[in-house]
Amino acid sequence: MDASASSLAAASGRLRTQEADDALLRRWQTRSTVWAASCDDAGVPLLLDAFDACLAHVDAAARLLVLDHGGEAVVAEAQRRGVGAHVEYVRDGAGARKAALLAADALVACGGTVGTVLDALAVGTPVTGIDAGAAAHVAGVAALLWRMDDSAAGLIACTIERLRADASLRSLLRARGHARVSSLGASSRSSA
Amino acid sequence: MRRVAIVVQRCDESVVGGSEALAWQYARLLSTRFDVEVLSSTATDYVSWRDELPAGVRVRDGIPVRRFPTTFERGPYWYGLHQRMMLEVQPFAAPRDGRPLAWRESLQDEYVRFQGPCCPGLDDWLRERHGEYAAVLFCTYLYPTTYFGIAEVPPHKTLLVPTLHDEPTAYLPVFAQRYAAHRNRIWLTAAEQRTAARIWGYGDGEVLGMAVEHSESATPESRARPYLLYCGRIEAGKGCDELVRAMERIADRGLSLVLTGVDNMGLPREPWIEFLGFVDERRKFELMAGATAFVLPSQYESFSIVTLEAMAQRAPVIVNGRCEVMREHIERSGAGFHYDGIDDMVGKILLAASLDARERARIGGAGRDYVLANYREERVRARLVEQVERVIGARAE
Repeated sequence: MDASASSLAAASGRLRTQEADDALLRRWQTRSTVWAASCDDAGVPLLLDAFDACLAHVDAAARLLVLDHGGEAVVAEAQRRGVGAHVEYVRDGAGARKAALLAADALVACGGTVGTVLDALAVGTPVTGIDAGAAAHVAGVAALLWRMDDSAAGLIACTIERLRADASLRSLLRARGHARVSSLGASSRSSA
Repeated sequence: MRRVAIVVQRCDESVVGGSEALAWQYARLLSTRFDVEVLSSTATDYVSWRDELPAGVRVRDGIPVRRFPTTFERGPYWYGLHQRMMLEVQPFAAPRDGRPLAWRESLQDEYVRFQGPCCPGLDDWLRERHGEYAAVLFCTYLYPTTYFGIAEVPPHKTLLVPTLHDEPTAYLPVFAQRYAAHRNRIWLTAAEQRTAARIWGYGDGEVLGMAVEHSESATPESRARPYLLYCGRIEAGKGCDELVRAMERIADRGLSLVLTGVDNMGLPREPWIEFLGFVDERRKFELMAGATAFVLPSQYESFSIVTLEAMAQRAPVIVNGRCEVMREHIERSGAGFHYDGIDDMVGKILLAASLDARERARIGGAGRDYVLANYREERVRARLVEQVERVIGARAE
C-alpha cells in the first residue's frame, strides 16, 4: 500500500495547483455546517446516523457532500430517511471534488478511498471518521478517528462541531495533514 | 561562513517593488557577515506572476539568487475569489456572532496560492534543505513564497519581515494563524507593528526599518516651472489617479507633475504632466532635490523608501494621512504634510507650493535629520546582523 499511497499523495499534492469548480464552490460555500464525505457501502448507515445527529442537535441547515462511488447509495438512503434535500453526490471531476473539500468543515471518512483522504489533507481540510481501512491508515495522526461502535456517529458529529469552533485544533490538523502528504509525496519522488 | 537564506517573491534588477528592494538590501547588508542566498520565483511581473526568468542559480552582484518556476499565472479563478473575499472577509463585512466565516482555512490557502507566485519547488527546497541554512528570512507576509515556505522551516530558524499594511487581505485569519508561531519578526516602522497588533493580535519583534541612501545630490534639478514629483509604480492602487485628479483642479496654478517609474495606469496627456519613465538613482536624487514637494498618495505602505530618499534630499513631502505609517513619518520628522481626502490633498499641495525659501529649508532639513538619525546604512546593518545572530543562537523550544 505504501507505494500506491505515495503516488496518490503526489497526485493529491498536484491537486493544490488545480482550480476548483468555482460555480460549485460558490454554491456550497456557506456559513452553515458543511460535511464532505467518503465512504464505502458498509459506512453508509454510520455516515447518515452521524449526519442525522448533526441536523437534529447542531445545525438544521447542514449539508453533506458525498464524494466517490458511495455517493449514490448515500443519497438514496438519505432520501429514504427524509433528509435527501441536505445531501448531494459530488460526481467525478477534480474541480468539483476540490470545491467540495474547500467548502467543507471536514471530510468524514467511513471506509472510503485513500485518494480522497489524501486530497483533503493536501488542500488543508480536516479529516475525521472511523479508524478502519486503508483510508484511515494513510491519514495516521493527521485525522481525528473513532472506533466503530455505538457511539461513533455521535462522536463524529461532535468532532465536526468542535472543529468548527476550535481554530487551534484545525491549525494542528492542517499542519499534520500537510506534513503527511509531503512525506508520502517525497517518498514517491525519491523512488521515481 | 554560516549560510542564510532570504526568501522573496521576485528578485531581479528589472523588478520595481518596495519589498523586493528591501529583501535585496538585506541580502547585501548581510552578505558581509554571512553566506547569503536569495530564494525566489522566476516571475518579474507582480500581476500575472508569469514564469519568465530561467530557473536555477544566477549570481547577482556576488550573491547567488536561486529561482524556482511559477506553476501558473494568475487568472479569472483568482479574481473571482478576490472579489468575494473583498465582500466577505473585510472587517466591516466579517460576522461578529462567533460563527465561522464561510471561508474555511483551506479556501483561504487557495486564495493565497492562486494569488501567486505559486512555486511548489521552493516549498520542497525549504522542506528538504532548511537544515543547510542557519537562518531563513522571509520578506512580505502576503505571498505564497512566504506563506507556504515558512511552514516548511522550524520557527526558531525563521525571521519574518511582514511589510504589513492595513489592507483587506491582511484580515484573512490564516495569516495571523500561520505567523503566530514565527516569533522572530522585523517591522519596518512602529506603525506597522501597531497595525499587526490590531489586525493579527500580536506585534512582538523589532522595529528596524531599511537603510536609506542619503548622499546629497550635487546638482539639484532646476526648472522654470515648479514641480511636484512622484517616483514608483504609477497605478490607481498607489493613489496616482487621485493625485492626477488633484493636480487637474489646480492646473492653472503653474505647477507641473513629474513622474518616474513604470506607468501601469495610462497617464492622461496633459501639458502639466511629464512622465520620465525609469531614471537612474543619480537622476532621481537630482529630481528630488529640486522638487517643490515629493508626493506619495498611496494608502498602503509599510515603509516607503522612496519618500525617505526624498526627505534625505531635503524635499518637503506630502503623503496620504490614511496610511498610518506615512503619517507617522511626517509626525515624527516634521518633514512635510499629510492629507485626508482629495480636497485636503489639493490644499496641502498649494501650501507646499507657497512655502518661502526659509520655511522650505527648515522642513527639508527636518526630513534629512530624521533619515540620518534613523536609517543610516551602518546602523541598519548592525541591528540586522544582531537579529540574525540572535536567531542563529536560538534553539528549538
